[in-house]
Amino acid sequence: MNLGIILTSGIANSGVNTALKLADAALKKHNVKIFCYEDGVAVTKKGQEPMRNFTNTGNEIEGLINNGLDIIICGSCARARGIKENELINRVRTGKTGKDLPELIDWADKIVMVK
Amino acid sequence: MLILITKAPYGTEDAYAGFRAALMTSASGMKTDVLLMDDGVFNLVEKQNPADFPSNLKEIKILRGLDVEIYCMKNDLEKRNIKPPDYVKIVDKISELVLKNEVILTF
Repeated sequence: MNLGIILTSGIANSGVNTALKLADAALKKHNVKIFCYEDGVAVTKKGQEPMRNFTNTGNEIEGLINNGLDIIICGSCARARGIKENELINRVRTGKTGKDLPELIDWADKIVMVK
Repeated sequence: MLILITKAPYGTEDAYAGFRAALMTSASGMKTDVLLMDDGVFNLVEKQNPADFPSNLKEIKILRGLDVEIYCMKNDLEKRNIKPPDYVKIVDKISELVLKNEVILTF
């Protein structure tokens, strides 16, 4: 099955943990893509140093990419937040909302939106 | 494809992001409708003139040009005393819209 996750939560929001745990579980048997939209784009920045007890979402995303996750961010959302392509975790793709969001929805058998 | 917008304009980016998502999916050829409920019905208030945000009414106008229907919950309009424009389709319940759409994105 192809699972598409649309993530709009930013760093330190529990929605991010939910989305990443869901992706981790699904990757064991299925194909998973995450599209980061609105504040969700910030979770793909490299060099995150969260305060204690907060999950390092950057490290988790790196691990998930190594396990086959395809993660795409909304390019215009990233530019609006001053996030440059060279600041992203390796293999995070910068997409276009007009192209990549509809493609994700077409590709996925199930879509889960996490806020 | 149903884009469900529950947030008022301008306090957060959510409603605008929902209209943008509807624009992208409809422009790519997916049949897309928008349902406004809860505080999302405030997006229909006439004469919006936001200073620091793009106008959501302009986004709705673009969507209508792409044959996107704008639906709205009757109860939510009445509670907020909002009179919607004539093009809005007013519904009593969301079950029919939910059942006829394979994908629902909530903003």
